[in-house]
Amino acid sequence: MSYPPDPALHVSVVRTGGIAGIVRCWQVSAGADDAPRWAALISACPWESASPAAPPEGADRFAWELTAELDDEVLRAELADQQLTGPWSTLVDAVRDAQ
Amino acid sequence: MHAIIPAYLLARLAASAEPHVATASEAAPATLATPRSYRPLRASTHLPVDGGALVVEASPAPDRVLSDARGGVELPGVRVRGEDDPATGDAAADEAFDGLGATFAFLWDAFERVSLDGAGGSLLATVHYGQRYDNAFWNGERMVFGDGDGEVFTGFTRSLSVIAHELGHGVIESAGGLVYAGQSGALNESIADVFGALAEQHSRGQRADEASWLIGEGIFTDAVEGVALRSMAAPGTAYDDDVLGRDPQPAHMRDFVDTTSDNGGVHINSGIPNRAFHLAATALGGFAWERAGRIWYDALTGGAVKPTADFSAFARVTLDTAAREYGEESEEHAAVRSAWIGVGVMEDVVPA
Repeated sequence: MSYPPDPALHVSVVRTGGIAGIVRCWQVSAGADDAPRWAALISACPWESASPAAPPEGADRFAWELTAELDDEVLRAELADQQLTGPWSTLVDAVRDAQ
Repeated sequence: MHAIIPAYLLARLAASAEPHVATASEAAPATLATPRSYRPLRASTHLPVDGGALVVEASPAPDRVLSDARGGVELPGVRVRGEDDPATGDAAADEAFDGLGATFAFLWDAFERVSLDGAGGSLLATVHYGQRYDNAFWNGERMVFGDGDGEVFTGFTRSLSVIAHELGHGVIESAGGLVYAGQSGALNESIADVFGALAEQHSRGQRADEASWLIGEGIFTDAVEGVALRSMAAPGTAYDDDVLGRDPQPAHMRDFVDTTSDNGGVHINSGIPNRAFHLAATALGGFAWERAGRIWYDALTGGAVKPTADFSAFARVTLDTAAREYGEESEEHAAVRSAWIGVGVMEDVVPA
């Protein structure tokens, strides 16, 4: 896996749980030309209000760990599968598609 | 002699290939499939003539409702099939419907349990959930199937062990629940795997030594180097793949995995109690649901397992259950004790 030199931005998605219990990781690094699009996807997510993952309802749901690094800023969120909606879902789909 | 034929015998007749019961073999499935009209507890009735005598047979029947999320994430989705409806023609919906029925038959035949709640409650499932959603889960009231992403998973409805695993979570919840984190969560996962494996073995008429003891056999795509999601016989050997990595399940307490991911490794450390069940079941032989499965089921539903139970607490309850039902000097008690010692949950010491 090779990244552009000196990436301005880095996003990683880690998915755990599910009936398989298989950990999957996806990540993307963006250079200066691609950074604005990713910055928009990242800033659309409510990182500040992302609460620790709620106790799971039922069983075998996925759990998600998201990290975004922009310059010196590092944003993190842990989400239950039910919380992965709206801008979170859009961001995760973009990272998976980019890989 | 007049006798009522229990449903488990009918099911066994249905599965029999012996010539002397050929007629009964043909009749039994029809009996089990007789249209049901009783609510809320649905039942099938049977009125065969046996040597001139009328024999009355009644056994519970499932009430299945299949819905289709049509690629969305709204539950339950659109209702596509009820208990008395014909097949939809959609493979996922019809496979799920059949799997719910096979699991219902297993619970009744093996444990005289009527549906997940023991009270004939409806069996609810939704298929085609989400986009490239490679998972099947229990949401607390229904089982939900994605279609897989086509890269790792081909879908989940083709595996009875997966379907019965999800429904097993429903039985566990109904029995009082096991908190879905750490060791109690891994017990929750393991007991769901026990239900999954036993329902599949029951459906196939397999004895303990004939069974694969695999969970989710055949749901990986051909691109994946692996046979199943988990192996109860040999935890840690189900897959070893460039993309997915290696099956991380331990088979012994010395390899217990401390992690915060996956709710504290509930799908990882379940390998330890899974292996214990496999050891007990294969030591006893025969149909695994008849003795090892019975002990695990009675332990789960007997009220002595707290929601926060760890492995050793559950092991003690299975041992107490075996002693109560079969005696302290029984081979069942010895097999259960050896199984937990074999995975390092109990110590092989004689009290001083």
